[in-house]
Amino acid sequence: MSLIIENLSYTYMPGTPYATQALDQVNLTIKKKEIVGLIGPTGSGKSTLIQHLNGLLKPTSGQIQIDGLILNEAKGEQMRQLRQKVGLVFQFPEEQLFEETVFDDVAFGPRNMGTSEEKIASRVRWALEAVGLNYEEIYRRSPFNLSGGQMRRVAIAGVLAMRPQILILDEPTAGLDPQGRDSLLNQIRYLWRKLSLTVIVVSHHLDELARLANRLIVMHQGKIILDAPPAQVFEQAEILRQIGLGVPLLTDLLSRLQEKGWPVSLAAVTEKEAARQIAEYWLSKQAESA
Amino acid sequence: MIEVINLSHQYQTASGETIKALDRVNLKINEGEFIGIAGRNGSGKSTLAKYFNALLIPRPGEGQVVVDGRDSRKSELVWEIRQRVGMVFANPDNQIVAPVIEEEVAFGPENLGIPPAEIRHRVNQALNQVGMAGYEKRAPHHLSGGQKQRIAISGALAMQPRYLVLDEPTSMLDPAGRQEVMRTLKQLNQEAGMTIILITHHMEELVEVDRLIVMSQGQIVLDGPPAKVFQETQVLRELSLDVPQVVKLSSMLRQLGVNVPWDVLTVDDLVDFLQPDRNPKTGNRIS
Repeated sequence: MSLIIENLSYTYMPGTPYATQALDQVNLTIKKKEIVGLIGPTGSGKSTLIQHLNGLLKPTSGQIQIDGLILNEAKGEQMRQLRQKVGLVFQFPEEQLFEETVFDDVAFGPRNMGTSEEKIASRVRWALEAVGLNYEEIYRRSPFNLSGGQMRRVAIAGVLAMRPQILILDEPTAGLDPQGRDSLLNQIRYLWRKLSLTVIVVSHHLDELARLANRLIVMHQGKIILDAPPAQVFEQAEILRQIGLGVPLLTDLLSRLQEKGWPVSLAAVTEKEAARQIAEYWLSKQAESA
Repeated sequence: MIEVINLSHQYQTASGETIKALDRVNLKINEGEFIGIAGRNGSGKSTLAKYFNALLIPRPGEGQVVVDGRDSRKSELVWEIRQRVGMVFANPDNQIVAPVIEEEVAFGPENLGIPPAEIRHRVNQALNQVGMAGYEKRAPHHLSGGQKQRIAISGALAMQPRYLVLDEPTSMLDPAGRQEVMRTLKQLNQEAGMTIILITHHMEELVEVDRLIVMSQGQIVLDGPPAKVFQETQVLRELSLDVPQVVKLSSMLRQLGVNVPWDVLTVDDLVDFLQPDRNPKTGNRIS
């Protein structure tokens, strides 16, 4: 399931004084089974971009191809099939839970597609287990009596139950506490491996995406300005600062030490590695002055 | 002063289980403090916040909350308490109601029946305090997340509260927006003497506060200056709470033989400590 975006542009409210170009000639190819982080400051166009991927927005110009099918030309049945291939998990997806039981909420999508009840039952079980929930414990409960982290997992299960091949998550960890966040990130990585999905995660948090994705796409003012593995993106600390994205704390520290002449590398993305580099230089100076 | 005395809050889940969201909490918040409250989801911190401004009222036998001598159980005092304690929530989009910024900020004081000239003055002052003067006639929905949240804060300020309670005010913002909001809160505290109570998951934000309260299972488990609280690594780990990255890094550095002091909490602190003119052995400045 490859995804090819060519010369994609999008303007909000065209022809009015409020016209805003949200996407400007975006070109991007995401291969099957990739796990990609999409990052940019507020207003950079990342949410606009992902809303194109399942046909919620239509390009002002340019095109999107999913497995050879051109999304913006698809109609009717073809569009329905394409939408089913791309599962989009919105920000705070738990706000969209509405059924009386967890089971019914997860079953909502497949039921709409006319799937048989028998198949639905097995899919709901599968989807809940895929997001790390205990089916027997949870399926009869009301989604509104679950913890925030559990509700979010139920919402993700609802999207998975449609059996998408591309899973897109918009700020999946917003509002979760550190443990909830780590556990959900691990679960997403597990889903990616286990289900051979193509995964696109949108976030403000560079540190978080660096741990999750193998490739980071940085957007600014409707354009892709960096597209590389995390360590290489971190080396562009100056650009990241300029666009108001901020840099991960370790990168900030290391780049400031570098400016002072410390022989440290900005590619260090773990505390351990940063500590090792700092201690090494510090202790070598200690040896010198002794 | 806000006094929380023996406050409990329990509720029943659909399955009939009793949950103690707050369990005999005692707390005194003095005017002028910048307080951070941390804890996992479900630790009771947001429930506690709702008692500060009488969104929740203690039930009989479940303690009391007293704001500047006003007991929130007395229903005739509730409005006075709400005026004294301003609240700001996570999602600015859910809090902003007016189509023009000055109307948004004026919304609270207008409801109090304050004369127009005084409202004008308050709106100007409140927008100034959050660094949004000049945006009076703009539409809120065209602002960035950080700007929207500052408008939500100025709406609370226009009520001229003595205390400002913020529940996860940065959780939906990008790093630039988060910094804007944190800078605004610090200024309000230092320059206007506003008492700030900040509830957050972001440990990096909590290094900025004067006093850090950690909650777990409806109780206060730690309460002190951040440098002290972050030394309780064992307790924090048991609660699955992160410590700020610089604290983590500093403890690794100590293990590797670099004498980083305990009060190093921010990148600035650490860069300052790792000066070339410091004696690497003792960590003291070479004079």
